[in-house]
Amino acid sequence: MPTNAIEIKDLRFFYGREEVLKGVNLQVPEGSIFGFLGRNGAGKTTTIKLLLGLLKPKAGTCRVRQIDPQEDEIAVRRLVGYMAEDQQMYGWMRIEQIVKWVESFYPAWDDKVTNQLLDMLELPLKSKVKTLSKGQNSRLALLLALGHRPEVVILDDPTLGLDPIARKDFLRHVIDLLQSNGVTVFFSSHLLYEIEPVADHIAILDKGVIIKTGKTDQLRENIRKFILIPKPGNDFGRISGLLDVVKAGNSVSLTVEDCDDAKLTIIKQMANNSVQETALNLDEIFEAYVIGNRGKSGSV
Amino acid sequence: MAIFIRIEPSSSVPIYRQIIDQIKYQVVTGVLKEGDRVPSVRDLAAKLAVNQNTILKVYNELCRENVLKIERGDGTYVSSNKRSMPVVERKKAVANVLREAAVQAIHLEISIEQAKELLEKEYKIIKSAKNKTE
Amino acid sequence: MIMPLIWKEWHEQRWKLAFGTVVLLFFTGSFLAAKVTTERELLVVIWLLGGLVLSLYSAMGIFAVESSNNTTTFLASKPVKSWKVFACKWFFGWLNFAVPMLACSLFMAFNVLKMGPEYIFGLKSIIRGTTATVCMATMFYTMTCCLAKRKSSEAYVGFTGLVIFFIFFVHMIFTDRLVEPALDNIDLFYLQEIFFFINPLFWFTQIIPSSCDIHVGILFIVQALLFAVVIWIGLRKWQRSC
Repeated sequence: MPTNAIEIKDLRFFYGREEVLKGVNLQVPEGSIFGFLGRNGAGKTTTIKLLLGLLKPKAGTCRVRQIDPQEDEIAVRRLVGYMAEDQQMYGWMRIEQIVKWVESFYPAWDDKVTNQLLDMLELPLKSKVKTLSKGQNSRLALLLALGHRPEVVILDDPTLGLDPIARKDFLRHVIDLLQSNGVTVFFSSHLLYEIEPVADHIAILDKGVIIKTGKTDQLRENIRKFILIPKPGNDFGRISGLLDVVKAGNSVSLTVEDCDDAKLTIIKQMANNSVQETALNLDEIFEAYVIGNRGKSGSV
Repeated sequence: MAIFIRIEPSSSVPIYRQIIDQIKYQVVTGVLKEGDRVPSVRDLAAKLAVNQNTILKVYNELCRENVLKIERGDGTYVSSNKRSMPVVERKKAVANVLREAAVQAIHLEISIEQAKELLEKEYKIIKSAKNKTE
Repeated sequence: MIMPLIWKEWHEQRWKLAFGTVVLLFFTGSFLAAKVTTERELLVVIWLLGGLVLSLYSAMGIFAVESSNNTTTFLASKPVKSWKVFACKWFFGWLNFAVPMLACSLFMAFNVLKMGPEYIFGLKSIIRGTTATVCMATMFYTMTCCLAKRKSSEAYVGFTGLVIFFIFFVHMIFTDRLVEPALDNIDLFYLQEIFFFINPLFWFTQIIPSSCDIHVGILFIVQALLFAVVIWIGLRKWQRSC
């Protein structure tokens, strides 16, 4: 019976008076690469911090490998490899010093693996952390997260600020080092076209709740865009699963999820002409979910 | 054996399909010859920065369509066309693809003669590309 | 898991410690050499300078430095209990002013000893004064770094410290000038002590031996309670500041 590496149930969190997470539900299957999407400020970092016990939820629970970070945050942190968003580390330390320092917190630290990673990630031992470039900084943060051979790795926007080559290299390392070893990877990003090739599963967080979750390839297959010239007096809100309505001149494009024959018939009936169907890329899918006009405000 | 795959990240074609199409194109034009070894799932995934399960899906489908074959313990190779599916099945696979093209053509009011012309042209282009690599 | 924390804090704070010690010893030495004031007044100046200024400087540079460098998350996400991190930081910040003050007291004590047995009483007052001002500075330091707003910058912490100092200074004058004379007529001499209890400068009164030792015990307990409450507040703030 496949278990979930991470389980989040009805999680709520407030920053002062503002409710940032309004009941988040999420399951991350073991061994998957899970992409956590959302706009800036949607609450991705907050969710991740709650998973590590760095913050305390107002309500709800989250578990990493059945351990609740509110009960035993030390156990969760020993189990998880964590890379914070734009992780700043102690600039005065040399790389060899910071590796030794982090190592002293983890009984399970593996020196051999660490040395291999230092070579692979091309990190010069004697350099001070403050002299590292952004790419080197990210690679160092990744190394420090992986040195104790965690089985669950949580990365918060790991490619932030990296140039395109460095980003690709980083994702390459994630796939090669981690997926091959059955490690569960949970990472947040808003560079959607980047997540898609890499992630098995995707969840979209918006306005404090998960608005969509599913396998990456099914996400694409399920959603269709139709362009048509509509008959007057149509109420597009009738179409269930309608994500977005955009008008341009006298044409209308409808983005619909879970499109079956019945829905297709309804849509054809609304059209004056033939209906043109197109597929969408992940950016467009994300937009439809997050800022889509649901057409509920009435007819065309 | 390195193969050149380019993924268009913002395309609306799913990634696995892009890879399948590109490998097929390379086989058909002779860039990838029969018996050539393709990278392992792990290597190709790392090279393209694509999820290993996606690559696995690609290779599985290409094996099913007899474009590639897996030699246990040895790797994955470009299969020979000769020992492939029976004609009936091959025709069916092509008919599926042509159906979509036919819909487009009819929708855009391209006549059957014009469509035939276009198909012949594509055949010529690919065959000449194949001849160049041989 | 406390060794790596000690190592890190030591590495970060050792130059501040050296700086504080050198500066305070320099002032002590030069005042002494210039024979500006008597040894008694000199001690008070050194202890106030060391106690208040250095402890403020320490408080500014020990907790706020993590948030100004954005390393809070990096530190907080390590598998170690947050109270250990807090305690380690508090301790090294404490060393930053306690060591200079103790060094100066030792220097003064050495000087006094040199002058012969008729100055032995001076030694006692040095010990008493040192204890009092180190405790006062500890209280002031703890209040400043624990009560400052979460994620304050270093300057903001300094400002908080000045505000705390100002409040207690005013409070001390208030109790000294207004309350005490008023209480002379009322047989509630405990009240005077109660007013003093929240004042870390209460320790200042310990430099001069008190005539009512019986109340001092209560004051010590109350100060200890206040200290515990302030530490608890500071720890909660630290835990929430991630």
